[in-house]
Amino acid sequence: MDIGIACAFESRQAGSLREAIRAAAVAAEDEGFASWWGLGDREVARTSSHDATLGLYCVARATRRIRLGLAGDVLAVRAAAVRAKQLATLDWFAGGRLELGIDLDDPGADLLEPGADVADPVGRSLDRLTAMEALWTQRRAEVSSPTVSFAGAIANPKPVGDRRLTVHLRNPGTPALRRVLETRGRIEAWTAWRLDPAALDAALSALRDALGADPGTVRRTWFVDAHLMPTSRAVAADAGIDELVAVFDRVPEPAELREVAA
Amino acid sequence: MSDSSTRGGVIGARGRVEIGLVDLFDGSPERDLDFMAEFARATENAGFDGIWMPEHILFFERYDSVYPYPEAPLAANPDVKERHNKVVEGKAQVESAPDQGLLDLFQTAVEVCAATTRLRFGSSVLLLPLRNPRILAREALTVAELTGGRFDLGVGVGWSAEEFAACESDFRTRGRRCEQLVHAVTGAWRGGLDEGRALPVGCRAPRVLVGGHSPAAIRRAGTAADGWYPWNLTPAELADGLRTLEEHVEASGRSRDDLHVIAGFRGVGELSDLPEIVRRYAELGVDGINISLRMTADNYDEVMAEVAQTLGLDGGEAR
Repeated sequence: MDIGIACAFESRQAGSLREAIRAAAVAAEDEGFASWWGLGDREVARTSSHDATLGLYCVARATRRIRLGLAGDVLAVRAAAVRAKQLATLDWFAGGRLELGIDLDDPGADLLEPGADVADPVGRSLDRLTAMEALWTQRRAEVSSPTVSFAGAIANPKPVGDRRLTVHLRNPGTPALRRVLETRGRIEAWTAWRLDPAALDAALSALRDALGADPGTVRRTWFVDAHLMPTSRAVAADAGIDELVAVFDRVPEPAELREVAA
Repeated sequence: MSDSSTRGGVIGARGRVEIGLVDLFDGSPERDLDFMAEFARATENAGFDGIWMPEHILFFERYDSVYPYPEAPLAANPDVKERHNKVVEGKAQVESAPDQGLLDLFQTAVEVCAATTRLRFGSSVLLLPLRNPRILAREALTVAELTGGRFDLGVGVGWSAEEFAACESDFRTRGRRCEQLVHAVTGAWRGGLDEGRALPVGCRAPRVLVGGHSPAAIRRAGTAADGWYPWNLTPAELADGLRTLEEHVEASGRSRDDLHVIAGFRGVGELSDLPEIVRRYAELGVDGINISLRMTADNYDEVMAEVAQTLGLDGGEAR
């Protein structure tokens, strides 16, 4: 089982935020962590932390190996082409290490523009994901959906290798998972965000229900608060979790990372 | 770091004029990470004050939309404009390569500022109507934090209906939306947020400069923003715009000293002629002048050195 970390990009350390991120990122790679995740849009909007994409850019520039992820993009509130460029750029700076978590739930008032409404966040998000993937993989991109349409669009840079980013669905429940399967034909990765063991078990059942089979090929990642790591390892192993991620409410100090890694 | 006000260079009606270069980083093999750092350091070492990068989310092979800045004032005789963009079926087209790209402005800003010590980085200009203001307010504060306060947020309304459609934004109402978003973002920075929302604290928000020279753009700059950033104007046009700007500034109870005005232009003609247009702009009281020189990866250091020398900037050599 891989071990990763996630954090809010906020620092209480002396010195600049960028330097705090750099020190922690170097330590994370030295300690053998498999991944570093920025918080999802939903969490970031409720805190005074900095933008997760830009924080992750700093991690990317301080490391060479560690996988990088965003824990929950709420695509219902982000224009597909704008977000596609931000992520492609981040992947360019990261040398092809970026993965993307998607949060399909209702965006909530703190992310929606004033006066905006999203009647079908799942549908809108999936339309936008399809559009982003077209921009990442097609030299002259074309897509048509109720949410976004274009033809002949030139979007550069593209993710390294002109690839689709690995998409991690944040535990959206059985109906939404089925809709993803209908739309995309596959679920490649799935995440559980700060669920307790009982809720994790229920979420995995929902995943099995949606798939109609054991989720053996679906990469499963469980995010838990950093202080719960010692008690979560065995639970994660029993549940067949592929990666356990320690969540910090700020940029961790190298000593804290060593403690989690131990 | 050196204080901009004590450095040498171009002196205008309001004191020292910051000279910036408009150029791009596109993620191409020719403009890789090493290039970015070397270009940024060369700019700083030559004595320029900033790098400004345009924004397009997408390009298209052909546009029905008309590129609005096809004519630039001649360096040697800035009262005269010369058309430099190609025209297809009567419509001026933007200058771009067949597979043109541009990196994300914000990540590029952090990269450039990390490679330098005093250089500023600005957006020339960010297409504001395409953004969700709730997200943009935080992004811009983070850029300000990660660049050590060296980021300027130039904003504009764009000109490509094709790009707006692909970015899910209404082209016809982009001006009104731009104004709403300037208010929304700057209001959020001042603490005028909706209940329950928080933004990073302890970092100073970037300057917001409104691009364009339409009456509406000048009004937005004078009433809602921290500055004005017109492009490719003759000195007479710039003088008219500055007069209008000052009327709006006064009407909104502010002072011209509250605003930062940067005049930008595409350099057309000989590099040795640049001092003439720069002098004319500076005499009109701009705070900064941005020049697009369309430099290549092979010639940028020589071009920067020549321009720095001809303008009397503080730098020694580009590299």
